[in-house]
Amino acid sequence: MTVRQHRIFTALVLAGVLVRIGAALFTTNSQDVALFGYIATQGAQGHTLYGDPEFSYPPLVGFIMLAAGKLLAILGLPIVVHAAPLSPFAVPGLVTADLATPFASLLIKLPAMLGDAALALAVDRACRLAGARETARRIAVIFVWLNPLIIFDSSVQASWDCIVPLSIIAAGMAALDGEGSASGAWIAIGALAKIVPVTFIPLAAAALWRAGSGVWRLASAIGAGAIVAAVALGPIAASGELPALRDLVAGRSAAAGFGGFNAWTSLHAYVFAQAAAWMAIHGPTVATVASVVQFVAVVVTAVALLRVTPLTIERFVIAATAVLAVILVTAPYVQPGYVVWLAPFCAILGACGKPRWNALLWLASGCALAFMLTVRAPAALAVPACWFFHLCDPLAFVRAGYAYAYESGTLTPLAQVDNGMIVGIAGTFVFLLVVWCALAEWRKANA
Amino acid sequence: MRESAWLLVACIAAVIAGVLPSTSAPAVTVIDARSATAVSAAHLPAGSVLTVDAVPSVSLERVFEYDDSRYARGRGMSDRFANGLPIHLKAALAYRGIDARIGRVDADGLRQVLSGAAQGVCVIVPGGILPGTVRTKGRDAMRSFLMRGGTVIWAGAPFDLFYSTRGVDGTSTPVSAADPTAWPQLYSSSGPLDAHDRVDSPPLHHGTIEAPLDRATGLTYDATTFDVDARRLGAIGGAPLAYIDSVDDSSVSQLPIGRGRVVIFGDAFADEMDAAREIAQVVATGAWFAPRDVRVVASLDSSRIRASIDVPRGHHVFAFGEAPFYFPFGY
Repeated sequence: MTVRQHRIFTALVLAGVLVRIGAALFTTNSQDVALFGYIATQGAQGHTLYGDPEFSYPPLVGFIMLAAGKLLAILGLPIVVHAAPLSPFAVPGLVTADLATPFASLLIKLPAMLGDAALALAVDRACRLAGARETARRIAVIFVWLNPLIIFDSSVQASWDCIVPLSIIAAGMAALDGEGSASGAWIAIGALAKIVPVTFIPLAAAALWRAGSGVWRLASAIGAGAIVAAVALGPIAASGELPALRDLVAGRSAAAGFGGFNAWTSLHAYVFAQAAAWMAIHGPTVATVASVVQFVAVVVTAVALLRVTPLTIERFVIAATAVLAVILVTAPYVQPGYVVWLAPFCAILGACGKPRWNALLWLASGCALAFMLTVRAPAALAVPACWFFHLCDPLAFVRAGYAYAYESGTLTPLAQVDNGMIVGIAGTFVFLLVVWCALAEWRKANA
Repeated sequence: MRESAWLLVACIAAVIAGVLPSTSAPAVTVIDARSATAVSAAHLPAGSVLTVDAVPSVSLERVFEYDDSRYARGRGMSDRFANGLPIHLKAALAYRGIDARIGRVDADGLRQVLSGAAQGVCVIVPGGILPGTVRTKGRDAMRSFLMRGGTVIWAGAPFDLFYSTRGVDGTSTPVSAADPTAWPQLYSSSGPLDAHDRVDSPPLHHGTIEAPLDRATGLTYDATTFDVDARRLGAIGGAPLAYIDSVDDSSVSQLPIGRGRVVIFGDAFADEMDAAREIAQVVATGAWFAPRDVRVVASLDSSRIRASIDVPRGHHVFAFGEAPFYFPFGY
């Protein structure tokens, strides 16, 4: 790598930092920011995490939000303000008059933004382990670090999706190194922030076993995971809120319904009204079948990992990519941010001399970002910049967001649902393409 | 091993930071002395205001949310809303120092509740459509419940103007218009409510003018989609509690009926969290019972953090921060 290339890389990394800080300060208008703002306020007030049942995330995210609230209280800074003139144009989930203040917004989003940085470092290390060339490795890092979807997810939405690939990649690398305790700790940390990494325990266990680790290291993985879980769940248990946590997480998954960034979103179309009525009755059965398919995919992939020789980081990444894509194809409800789970794996495979994975990365990211902007009333996202920094007229922007949210559709009742449906169906095709490519890659590696 | 140790340390640090006591949190202390009550605030951020009310000492012992998916549910209703409201309301009331028993009732349960004891009992009808078990043309179990001293919190549709019968195979039927002549004082030409309001796709309206009592209640609910004329409301003993729009309609209205009372929200709630906060605020400030007796006795901010106030007999102090979360509370 030349000095010039190195400078360009450094400049791009810095650009990623600045874009994230700017986005975090100027956009505070999302549902997760409002929720985290509430939890931070609860923390500042000295209430416990699950004292109010709105918070249905695993506890690690919550503890960090409580800590952010306490820090803001020490600094004497407000967390959320009610912008009364905007409230006539509030739309649940899209446009709100309760705005997180810029510094609170930055603090709330900071852990997810640091998660992005850790993810980029994990991608870099995985590429090194896979033997990728330096230029390809750095391109993979930039494809993750400057990916607009990943930036939007953490710095605008305050979502912690980056923790999912981070914990899976890190656990996989640790397992292949025979580091049982680190592997178990990573999966536990991921699960305590976003639950999904639990699904990857069989894959990490298979990798650990194949690394010649034996029972002792499997036991150390379980032990480390259990200690991390005990640390995070201890205070919840002590305050008697474990049943609330269990009920809320279970209730949240049961209430998820069908739709989002996948083909199920077509159930909103007038033409599929009968199918939607059928799904209203048979949805739970379909969801159960989807869960069984996901479980089978995980088990089959773990068995395949146990049998493959040699087991490399590249093969672990292919296996994890296939499982993630199957989850996204079959899940009843997919948030566009879930593509953040997939993108780093595509970047690693792209760095390993398989350029089609870079094409898949941008295809999936592009569709997901388009879906996010379709369903997010873009004008409403900028309202905090207008309100706090007087950069524009907040009332005009909030009116635009309101008009956007209720614009009539052609295929469905709302125009935004029309657009979301088209992009959502495209998303399912991209996920299927990822499954197909992962299977082809696996066969090729074994040939 | 080193990597796992670092991860464990990071996890412990996050948990400790989360559970450490918040010594700098905005807080309010109320000390009830014999001669006067002292209220003091600590760590209020610059610009934030704490409202101190003297509120009538009355309580709601039992609260029931009505929802039944076999009947028409009304605007804003969903499984998520119906399941979430009792849980959120319980928490929102607990934050305000109120311990109430909160439950859900279906159409049959509602008939039992409305025919039972009314004093200290509150029924929330968040969708604004009563089931045929309690309301048909010419029959209205809620009316007798109110007359006997019950409390009703109403949202999502014009007050008691529509009902729904249970359809075949558990499916709900379209809503039917009830008989507004059951409420001559409310729906007559000089009454505050409009019998011509419709429940399906009504034109949305919002109030932006603060009602005189809004300072005392701190409510932010501003929808005035269904007409409740503030001036006519006042003429029959009611009071607007939050906002008024350009044609003088009230977004949240309290109205005494018989020995009971009803609180009417001008449209559906945005979501169950919003509903819980607004209802809890109406309850904690005593606005549901006797809004004209609620008084703002002090306003504290970072420049004035202490006040000594006289609390009238039969009243107690309730202090709250700013919307949307109203932290900190003091009582």
